[in-house]
Amino acid sequence: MDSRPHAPENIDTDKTEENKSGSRPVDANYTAANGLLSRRHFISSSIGLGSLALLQAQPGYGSQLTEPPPSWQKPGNAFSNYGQQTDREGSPIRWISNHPVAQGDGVSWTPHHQLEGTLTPNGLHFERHHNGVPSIDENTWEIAVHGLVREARAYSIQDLLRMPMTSKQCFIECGGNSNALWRNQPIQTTAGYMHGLMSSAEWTGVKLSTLLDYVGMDTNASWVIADALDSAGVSISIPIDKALDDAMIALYQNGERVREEQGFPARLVLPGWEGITHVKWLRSLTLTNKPLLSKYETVSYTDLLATGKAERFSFEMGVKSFITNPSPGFRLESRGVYEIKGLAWTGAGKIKTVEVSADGGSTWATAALENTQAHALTRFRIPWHWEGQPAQLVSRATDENGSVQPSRDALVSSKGSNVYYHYNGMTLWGVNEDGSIRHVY
Amino acid sequence: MCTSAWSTARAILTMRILTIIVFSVFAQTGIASENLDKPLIEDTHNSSSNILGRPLSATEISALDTHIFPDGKGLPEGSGDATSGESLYKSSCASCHGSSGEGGSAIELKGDRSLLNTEYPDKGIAVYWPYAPTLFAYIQRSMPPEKPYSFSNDELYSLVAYVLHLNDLVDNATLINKQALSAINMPNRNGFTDIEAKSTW
Repeated sequence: MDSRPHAPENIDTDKTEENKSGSRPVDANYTAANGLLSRRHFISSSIGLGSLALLQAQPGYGSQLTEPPPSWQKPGNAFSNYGQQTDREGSPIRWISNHPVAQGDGVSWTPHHQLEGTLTPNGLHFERHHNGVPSIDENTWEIAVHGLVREARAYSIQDLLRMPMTSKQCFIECGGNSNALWRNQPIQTTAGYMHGLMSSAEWTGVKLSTLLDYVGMDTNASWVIADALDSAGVSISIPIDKALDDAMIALYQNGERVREEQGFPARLVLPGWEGITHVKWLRSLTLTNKPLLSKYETVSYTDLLATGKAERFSFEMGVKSFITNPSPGFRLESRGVYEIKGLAWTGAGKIKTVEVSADGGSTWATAALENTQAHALTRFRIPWHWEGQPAQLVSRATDENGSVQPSRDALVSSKGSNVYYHYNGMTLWGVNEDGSIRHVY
Repeated sequence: MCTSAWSTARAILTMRILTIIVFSVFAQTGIASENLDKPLIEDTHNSSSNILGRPLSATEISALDTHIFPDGKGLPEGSGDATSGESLYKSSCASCHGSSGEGGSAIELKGDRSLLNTEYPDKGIAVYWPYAPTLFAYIQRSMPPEKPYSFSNDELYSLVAYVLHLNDLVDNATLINKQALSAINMPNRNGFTDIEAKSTW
């Protein structure tokens, strides 16, 4: 694909305004080649809406609009103590991939292609466990804070619940998310199972700096080693600057207590940083002046370059986006206007712009953005007119630091294809004339 | 005066009505009204916050000190050699890691360093692991997956000796203990570049 530098000034965004007078043909509504439209055009268009179908049986439409609905004629179902997602064919679930013997070693993906908005439902937040989910009794649980401190102390859940708290929407992305795209052939799967080791929630908890303030941190302390209670014995070293900046001991996830598979009773949340650093099921925090350099900081979660050298402490997740719909697994059923939508995020903080191309990156149009707060998931949307032509749909995000999401070619050229972690290149969806969609390079 | 008395009476009446409304709402929602007698927010910002938590005892602090660092700090007493490690490996590890560390359902334990720049290279112990004491820590805390934290220190040193031997880093009879393991200079020790933080090792 074309990976030339972006030149947004070439896109004539004024054309839509001119069309309001009716003096220009429909073509003038396009903001980039191959059917990308202005946002306004979606609403006022005379071009019909297309229909997007997941590849599964579609229920037929009956004559229900001509009859009194049955639900008017009997009382509804009972209240429920804890609501579940609507039970219907195709209800979104996490797909799981785990080790055949050590079954607690594996992942489950967030099905982003079946979700909307910018927050992940708690039951669909991705998982990466190294040896299963421990069951922790919060009534006997304590977190120990020790090492280079004035006074080593332990805090119970009741202690933490009394401390001042803060809330923040924050994505968590596994370092290995999207790693199939390092392969030299495009894999065929849905968007969620390609990029779904990334989820977002509103996390609420106690800032790590608050806890470190209580124990009186030694000025020589430069790392915090966080230990987990899981049976893989995960230990991760956090630089003290991050610990004192925006790191949080999260107790709540989207308003309810953190789920067991997300680290109950307490986990770390380190905004913008690689998933492994968001240590779940916290047991202890050890202040030291050297990192532990555990297996998870040396052998795993290091980025092997083409040179044979590996990058270590590559904490911040790069600027990234992908199109959730249309995407593989769906089919464009009819010609007309579709909303291209997707997700963008950056470890650096805020997403500034997302551009979308329908011709594989030759021309770009700017998408509308929702939820651009730092470290949140940003939703992008742009209307697109499909007339049955082949297309290559791709998105490209730029963050507040001016970092631009690279093309896959550019990323592989600079780092090689053995990195395994930190894939943040673009993802192309190839739309065929029959409306089917495939992952392409 | 008359106006003032009327105002007071009206205020009392209003409060009573409000009280009735408030209690009826609580009755409907099932909220116990006595909970409202407790303060909703307690001050945790000043020195009184020190009452939260409890000091750790010296015994607890000592027990928490389980980390094994790259220089071998934290390694326990004990020892073992590759010969003793081999039989333990066969019974506890080979079913996943292969009969001689070539990998299986679990990762390979040895590999070819010349392949580091090919697609999906082995990240074997001599190829990729920068520090030998990390082997002890990892096997201790994670292996075997069905029963982690179960090997004795002598068993752990034996297993470490065996996998080091598989990688031609020690010979069959070398006794591996805290000192010996700390002294091993792994081939890929300098294979890493620190990006966003500097290791002080």
